[in-house]
Amino acid sequence: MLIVPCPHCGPRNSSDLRYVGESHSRPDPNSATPEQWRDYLYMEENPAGWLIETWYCRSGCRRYFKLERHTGSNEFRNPPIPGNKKGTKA
Amino acid sequence: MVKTTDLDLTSSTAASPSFRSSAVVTPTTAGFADGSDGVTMSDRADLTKLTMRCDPASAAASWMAVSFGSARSDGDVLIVGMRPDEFWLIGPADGVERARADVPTSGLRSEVDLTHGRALVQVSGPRATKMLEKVCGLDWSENMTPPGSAVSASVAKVSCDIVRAGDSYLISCDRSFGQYLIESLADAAQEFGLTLGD
Ligand SMILES: [Zn+2]
Repeated sequence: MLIVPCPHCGPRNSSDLRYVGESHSRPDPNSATPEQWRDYLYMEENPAGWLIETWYCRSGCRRYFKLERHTGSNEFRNPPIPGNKKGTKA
Repeated sequence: MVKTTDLDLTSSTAASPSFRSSAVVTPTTAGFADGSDGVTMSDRADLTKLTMRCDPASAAASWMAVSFGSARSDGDVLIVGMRPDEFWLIGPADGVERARADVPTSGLRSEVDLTHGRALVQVSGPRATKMLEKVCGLDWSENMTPPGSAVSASVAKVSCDIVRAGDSYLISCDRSFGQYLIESLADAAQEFGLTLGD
């Protein structure tokens, strides 16, 4: 079982969330080439190591957020935690 | 197992309970002679549920006076900080309407009446927490989710919104899952003794 640190709800079972995928920045639609769009839409890094991902907290706060996860150890680090639901600790 | 004795979750707190769950559940006193130490379950679907979304920094949000993850009662209306920018007003129709009229109107906000869209069941009693722990992965100890907490989580694999008041829980889900949820909770409550409330 994977415990995902939601920045709003705190640690949650991953079945409470939806894995959205690797987080890539969107290219400028006015200047991006077809190759850049294809890279953005379809190509993945898929590293064996640290990866910034997007998650959706579907059974909790219904928010999208980014987390960094080690794809080998499933460890999360530097979670963007603006305060849990009690507004105190991480 | 839930048996199939037909038993509706009888009258509720609202003036005209015109709709209720068609779930079929059986009370039991298994393990507890009179059932009083077990779990009491009541259908509260006919309470009005109004959701308001607004900026957490807005005047409307500060009128609510609840932060995300907590709830307070204002007369007969429950005001719940259900999501970071979403508040719920739960109560009898006239009470909710009265509270709604008090909310400051400045700034953008949206209101949706979810009364007919959501099932709502109340489980209470000294064993209610134990029962909930069987079907929900959250930590229900009082230091993690004290009375007055409002959380969203999966209960029996259904996404639910839960408000805790002491040993009593209000559990809400989409109405299409309501019958399944009530039957699942009734099943989980069998070992503690299940009483059907008003
Ligand atoms: Zn969340």
